Amino acid sequence: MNSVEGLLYGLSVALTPENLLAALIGGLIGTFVGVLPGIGPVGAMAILLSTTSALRPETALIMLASIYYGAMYGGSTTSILVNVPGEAASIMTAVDGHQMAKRGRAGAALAVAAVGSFIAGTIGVIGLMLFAPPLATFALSFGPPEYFMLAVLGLFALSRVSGGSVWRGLLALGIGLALATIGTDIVSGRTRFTFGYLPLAQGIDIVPVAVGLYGLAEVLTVAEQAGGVPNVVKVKFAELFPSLAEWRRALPPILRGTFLGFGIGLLPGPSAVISTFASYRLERRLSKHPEEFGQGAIEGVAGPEAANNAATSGHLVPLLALGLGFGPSVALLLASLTMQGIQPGPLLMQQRPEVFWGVVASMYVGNLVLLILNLPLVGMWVSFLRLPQSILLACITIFMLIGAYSVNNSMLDLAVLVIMGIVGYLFRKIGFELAPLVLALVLGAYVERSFAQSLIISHGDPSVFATRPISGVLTAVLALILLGPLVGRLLTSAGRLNARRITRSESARPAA
Amino acid sequence: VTAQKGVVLAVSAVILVLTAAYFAEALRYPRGVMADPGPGLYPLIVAAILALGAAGTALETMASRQATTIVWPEPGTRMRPVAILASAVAYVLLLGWLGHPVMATVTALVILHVMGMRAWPRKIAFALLVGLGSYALFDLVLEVPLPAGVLLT
Repeated sequence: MNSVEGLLYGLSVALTPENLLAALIGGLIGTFVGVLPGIGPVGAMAILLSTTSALRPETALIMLASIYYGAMYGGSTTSILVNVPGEAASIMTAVDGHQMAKRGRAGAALAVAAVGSFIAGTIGVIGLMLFAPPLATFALSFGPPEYFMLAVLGLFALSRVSGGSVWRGLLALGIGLALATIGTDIVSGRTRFTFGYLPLAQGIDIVPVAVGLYGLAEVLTVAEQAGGVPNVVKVKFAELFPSLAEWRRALPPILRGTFLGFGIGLLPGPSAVISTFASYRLERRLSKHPEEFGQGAIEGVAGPEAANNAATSGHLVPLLALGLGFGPSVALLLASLTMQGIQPGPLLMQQRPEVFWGVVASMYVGNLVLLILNLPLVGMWVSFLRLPQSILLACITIFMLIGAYSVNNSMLDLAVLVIMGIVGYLFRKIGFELAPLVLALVLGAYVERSFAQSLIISHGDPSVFATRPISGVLTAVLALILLGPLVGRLLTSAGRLNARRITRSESARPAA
Repeated sequence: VTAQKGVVLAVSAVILVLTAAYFAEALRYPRGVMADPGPGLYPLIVAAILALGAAGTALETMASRQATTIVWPEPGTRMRPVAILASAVAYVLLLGWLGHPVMATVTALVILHVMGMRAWPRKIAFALLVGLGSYALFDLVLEVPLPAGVLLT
């Protein structure tokens, strides 16, 4: 199946009433959480993860992906109208978007943000269509050692870029891998780390862990902040049309932001957020009026908004092609697949084309639905900001508890939820990144199985990870990721020491 | 406001202790041979990653000159996370006995109260709506089985 055939097949999957409804509900929930400051897209995805187990795999993935990009739309609304970014990827939009709103151009800023997001989302999906299939086809030649090295590389790369410090990332990664070893060992069938407590034999489920780390921890963080009803700039429907001059200024940044965002989205880490900062900086550098940035430059809204949506598509390339996730949201999409009993990886496109192409095509449809729905409903979305925080948090907490319990009807899952909520809250306070933990828990069993299979096929020779061409390259990249910063630091301190020696010897030399 | 250094060191120390326990338990499982690894081999590698991460974090924090601080909640909002956590713990412990409708109502009532809803009749009405409404929606409509508790069975 080539890309065009695949897309047509995907459209036939995405346009079924069930999947259309999933995209619509996901998009609306995403916009809702994007509008509300505090509960972000990852929290919402985590909370709804348990409800997706009753859906078909492609429907579940379509709904979760829609939440993610719906939140990108919603986040820009509050950034522009209230100067409160609903989620981190909308921070840069607030800078110029709110200034435009104060000058009476709120409608134009919202329209440019929405159309920019739509264009970027659509081009991003084309990128996804072009990049993911060849990557997946290439990865079909992988054996257990390559899979193992790929998964390890993905985990270490994420822990390296997201934790700030290599050790903190390693620690979060280790916790996730350790949690994944609890329960029945998939290779030998023996139970481990259960301490005689039978419910632990089924292992630690990803849902209570994700809901605790992202959902409950987020509720606790939001609860400690004193909330008030913000002042909102009012927008009329007739004002939602930018002038021709504004379009002319906005279109090049939208296109630049799209390509920049998609490229950054392919890399591990919080790419949606990084892409907005990179796009803003690029636009300011290229602008003929850099002094307007910060005062309401439309380029400062168009570029970052396009970049964060394109990054979302870029982020899905490693997920759909290789079964790897490089961020918390993608880790949750990965978790959703494993919950459905689907092994993520390069075979996904061949074995489950309805999932692969259905998700790709649903992003086209979802972006269009969000564009049509969101602009006319701006007033409604903003009115949600007046919803009392007490009611919102009470409903979310009860929903989380039901969600965690209902996956396995297990009290253990509820206990895990509360423990992970405390861990998530504390880790946020001390600046630990949670994504490596979640991803390691999702991929842990897969990593262990590939490790055991590699050793069995190589008759116990661990050099198999370095001597086969592809796994050798992956090992070299891993070594570079882990040792690169250390070598860099050593070289810098050696350089400094050398410079100090030269200065000292020059000052010791008697003046001529 | 607390110095982040102390908290990170304490977290690293707790994780090191837990890693030691994990390592000791892993030693109880057969490690097999390299050509046929047993269930005990991989956990030893995981224990090494954990130990390296915890020790590295502790050493890095001790060597750091940055005076980063943790901002804890203001006195007015300090009890909110504690109360929400306590109500969640109570929900977990008493769900089997008192059931979802009662425990969800109590949990919602606690959250509404600590989050500043003033009037008691309003608070109780909303809590009942959340508790009984969620039970009706999930258990009765969506057929997600939730414990009814001694009062309803």
